[in-house]
Amino acid sequence: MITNEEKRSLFPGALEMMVLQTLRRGPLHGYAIARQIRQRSDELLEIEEGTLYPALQRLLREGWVEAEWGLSDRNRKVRIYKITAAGRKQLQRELSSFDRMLAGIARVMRPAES
Amino acid sequence: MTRIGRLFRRRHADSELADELAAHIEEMADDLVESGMSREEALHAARGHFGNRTALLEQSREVWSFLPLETFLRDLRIGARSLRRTPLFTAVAIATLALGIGANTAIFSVIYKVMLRALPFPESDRIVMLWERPPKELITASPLKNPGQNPVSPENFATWRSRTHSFEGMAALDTFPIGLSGFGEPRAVDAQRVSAAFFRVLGVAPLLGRTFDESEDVPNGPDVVVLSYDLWQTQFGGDRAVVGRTISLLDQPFRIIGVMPKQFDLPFAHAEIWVPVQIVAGDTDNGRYLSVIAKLKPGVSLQSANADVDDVERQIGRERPRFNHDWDAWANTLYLQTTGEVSTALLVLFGAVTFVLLIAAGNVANLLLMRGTQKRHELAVCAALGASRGRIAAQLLAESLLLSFSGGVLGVGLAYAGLRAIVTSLPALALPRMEGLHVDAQVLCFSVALCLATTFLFGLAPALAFSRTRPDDALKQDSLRTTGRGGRRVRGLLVAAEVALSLVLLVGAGLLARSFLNETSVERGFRTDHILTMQMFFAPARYHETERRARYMDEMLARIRALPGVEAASSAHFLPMVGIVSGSGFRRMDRPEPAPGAEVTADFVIVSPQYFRTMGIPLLKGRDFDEHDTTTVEPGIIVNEAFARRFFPGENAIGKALGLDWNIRHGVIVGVAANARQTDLKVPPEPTIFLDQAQTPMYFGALVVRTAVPPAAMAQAVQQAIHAVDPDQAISHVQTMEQVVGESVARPRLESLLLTIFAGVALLLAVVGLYGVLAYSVAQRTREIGIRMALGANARQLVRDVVRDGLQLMLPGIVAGIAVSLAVTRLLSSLLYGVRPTDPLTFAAVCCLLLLVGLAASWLPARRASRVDPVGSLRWE
Repeated sequence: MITNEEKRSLFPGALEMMVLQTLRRGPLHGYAIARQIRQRSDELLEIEEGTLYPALQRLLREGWVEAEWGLSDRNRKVRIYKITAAGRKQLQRELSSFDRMLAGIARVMRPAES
Repeated sequence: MTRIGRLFRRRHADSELADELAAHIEEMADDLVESGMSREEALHAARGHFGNRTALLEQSREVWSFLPLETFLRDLRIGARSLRRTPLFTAVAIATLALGIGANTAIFSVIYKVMLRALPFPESDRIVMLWERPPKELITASPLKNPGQNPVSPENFATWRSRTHSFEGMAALDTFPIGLSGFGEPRAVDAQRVSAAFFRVLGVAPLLGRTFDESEDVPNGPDVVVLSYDLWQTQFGGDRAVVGRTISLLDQPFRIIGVMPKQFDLPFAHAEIWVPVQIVAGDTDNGRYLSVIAKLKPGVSLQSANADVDDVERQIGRERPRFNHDWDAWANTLYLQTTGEVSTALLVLFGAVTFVLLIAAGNVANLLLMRGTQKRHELAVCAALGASRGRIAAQLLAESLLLSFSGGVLGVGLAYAGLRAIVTSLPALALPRMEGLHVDAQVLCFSVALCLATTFLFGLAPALAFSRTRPDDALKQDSLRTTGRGGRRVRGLLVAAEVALSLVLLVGAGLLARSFLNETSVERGFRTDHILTMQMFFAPARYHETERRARYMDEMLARIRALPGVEAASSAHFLPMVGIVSGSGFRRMDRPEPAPGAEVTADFVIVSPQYFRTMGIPLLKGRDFDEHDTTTVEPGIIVNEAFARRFFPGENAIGKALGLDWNIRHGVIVGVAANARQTDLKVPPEPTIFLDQAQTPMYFGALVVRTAVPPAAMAQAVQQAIHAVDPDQAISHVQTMEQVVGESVARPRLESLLLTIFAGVALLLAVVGLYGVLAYSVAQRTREIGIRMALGANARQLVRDVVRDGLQLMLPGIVAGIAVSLAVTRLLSSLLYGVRPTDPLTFAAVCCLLLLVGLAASWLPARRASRVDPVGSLRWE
């Protein structure tokens, strides 16, 4: 059996960040979130359901997303997630720290030529 | 939605999540259908992609759960359910733990009360007791239980008080029973004559009125008395107007000036009233009978106080060498004074119950390991459903926790029931400070901590072992049912350890039992059957004149001897076996006076005629005291054989004159009596001088009455005979001689009894453990045994194999147990009498006992193995 730990994202919180980013463009249900992330990453990132749903529960718990029952494109009863104002603020915070981190990593990996 | 709210709506939330996941799978399947799969394939693929839904549900739920508490409660629920499914296992485990935890709680609560609690006096760490210590050559001959702690003479006390500079206050005290009369039945109360500084040293203020001051604690000072709270309650109904009233003590009026608060008492000497000691300065009465307490000045160490008082004692030795040559003085803290004597025994018992608990924990661990093997399948299913290792371990630990706390509750109940039984059957002061036996918060905290510690002790190993269960274990064919080598080794080690621990306890119990037997079967020299005893104190005002005091005893004895059923009656100023005797100096008149420091001493016992007949002590030579021995003739002396041998070797002692350090200064030896033990059973007979009560009448004494009928039946008649002479005479300690001797060995008997009980429990648990492991292994190997039988092994071989397995489990335990015993029984030496801590007989007997019991425990599973039906066992499952 493969444990969830082994397929966890790059760093803690990355999955949550991607989910929030995906939801910023509009409310989506769970499967659609997974599909979107896969497509937008050019199939590089495969989202495990085993991590997606606990992550969604964490986001609900923190009040960064809301959920209500609605209908999918195929008229199936699904739970649709929507980012909240607090969720946007959190995403902003995470993105800026993510950018700083990326910049830091870039500097380490490609030292200045001078 | 809040987390707490979610807790209550969990069922709803769970079904919502399940719906959501179902929709997710359907959506994914739709996508796959669009990409060209058949519907069925698509659904299968989607489900496969989804993985472990139960684990996912759990994890999603955990996000919300109030984790630690909720998981814990759930684990407890599951644990309780699982324990209910195996009632026999649960009952055995709980009973085992209850024994272990109960024994520990009981002993700890005694240790807490006696040793750990602070003394009930402010700054009690600065309160000390001061003692004189006789020169070495006297110590060996001393009749006192603890010869280094010799009571203090009044004159020396007064000198210490004026010349030392380490103490804030110093007080002398002297405890004795006196008659209290003037209202209701005359009764004897324990009185303490104390210095005015007594209450100041202990730092306790009176509840009512005042205590005496220095101006009242002078020779011929006023007769004032301070009452204890209990006496105030029982005799005066707690009347607050009691201060200023007068009561009659020793036939003299005493004015009540105060009442002390509840539970004010010295831990080593109980008293109900306090009167001023009123020591005469320069008292040349050469007795040493005072206890001395003092309070160190702040910052003064015990060592410097020791040096200080010893320095003064040396000065006294130079100034008054006749009585004090080469004596030392020293200080002991009140705490050590109170606990010193019992602490060894208590610590030994605490060690013993710790062993019992370890054995109990070992047994329960063993039970859990065996049960766990049976539960392997169940645990593997849990693991397959996604339970992490930590979750499985936590669940198993929760089960253990339930066991130990159930055992703990039962154990604390057992502990208090047992303690109550022991304390009520013990004579007062056999254990200091045991008054007020109730459940202490501190003791309960200890028990809870003990339960937790026990849980980890027996629960951790199984929890770790079985949390390693892998999901595929559930699918494995386990029809062979061989147990893991590792598990068996752990169980074998546990059993060996249990055997070792119980061997140590059995050796300890055996040694104490032998010591107790030695002590009680020692040649006493007197008989204990058919003797009634009672103690009296004569009112000095009424019996001040020597003649009157002598006649009073004669009259009482004459009336008692005339009673039908009485064969002989006499008196002794101290009964044998009460732990006290008088000692004093003497010299042979036919030899030159010895140089200072070369004086010799002997025990002094003041008796009436018929003493030797009453006590069953043979008179070897000469005659007994009789009615002709009065104050008008030369005093007679009877000595014992030890005296005659030591001081008149090869001579006839009869007719020899002795000079005495007593209130009669000389006498002639008229008889030699056989040796009899006097102080207690452990002290061999010392050279003893018996004097006649009629010639040197004491103010107190014990009656001894030899009866033809059971002695207790005569108690009433004897007391009536006494009251016929003086209706106000207070009588105390009405006991048979057997009771007196019994009380003198109450503590060693209790120690030996308790250790025997604990060792018995330990043996039982260890044997049950051994039996369990063997029986289990036979049950597990039924198929193997069946095959061997089918191949021609006979029953005898099989029995031998199982018994050999049992011995292999026990032998390392026995060897280790002997090694540990040799190392630790030394700690018992101060409790042992007439037996060495390494007594080979005890060791051998204990090993034999363990082996026999172990063989018996192996025999049952062995027989079961030999009766395995080969055909049936191969068809098993």
